Amino acid sequence: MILSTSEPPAELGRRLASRLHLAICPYCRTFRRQIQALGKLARESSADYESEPGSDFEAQIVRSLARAEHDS
Amino acid sequence: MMSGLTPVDPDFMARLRRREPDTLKTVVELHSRRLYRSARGMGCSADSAADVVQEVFVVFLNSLDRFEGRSQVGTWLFGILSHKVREKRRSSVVEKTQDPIDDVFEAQFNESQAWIQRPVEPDRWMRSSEARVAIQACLEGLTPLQREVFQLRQVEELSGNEVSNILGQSVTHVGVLFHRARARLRECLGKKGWKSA
Repeated sequence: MILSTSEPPAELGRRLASRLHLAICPYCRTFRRQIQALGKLARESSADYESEPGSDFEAQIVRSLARAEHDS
Repeated sequence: MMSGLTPVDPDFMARLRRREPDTLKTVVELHSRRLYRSARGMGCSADSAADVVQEVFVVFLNSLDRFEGRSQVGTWLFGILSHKVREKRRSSVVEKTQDPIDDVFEAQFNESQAWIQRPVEPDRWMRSSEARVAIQACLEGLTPLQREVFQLRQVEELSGNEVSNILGQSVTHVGVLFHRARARLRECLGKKGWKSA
């Protein structure tokens, strides 16, 4: 609940209730930090994939588009 | 900040419709590695992800006349990607209404909704290479749809509305799936060495 209502598009009232709860509950704040750490780990881990395709990856796609355009 | 639901600039849209090579090249350069990263995050192998991304752009090219530009090109591309990944996986996107992770998560609270086992601060382990390997293994434990939602919401940082449009799920359901994905990953990482989970 804390995670889903602390940011838009949650209703303003629920966002405020969530913020108020976070202000008084250190455990939920810690939980939120855990989830933020989890997100950071996932983004860092996923970023490793970006270097996998060779440097001509984009050029290959552009060539396949040119072929597809020519064939159509 | 430009949202994925912001309409495409009309000039850019016109150039896309004319299939101008430089404009198509710009789209490829802007989005191909991000799409590749997402395909990998959604469970495709390296070879399969490269094929999928190539197919995504071909479908994009062939569907340009249907693309009305009401959302950003990236959102449209992610929609095609999601469809293509599912095709590869040949899996249904139907999710069970109940997920055991809901009970695991709820069990952390007593009848007064207070934490039974208090969470502790995320520790150094979360920044280790071991953790990066562990989360990849834990992602395998998510359902395909949870994995897609997690990738798009958490890694690509798309909004709930954008993910809802891309996956054809309600915003509420996307929220439920995102919560379950994070709860399951938290639980899994706890078993793999994140002692503070």
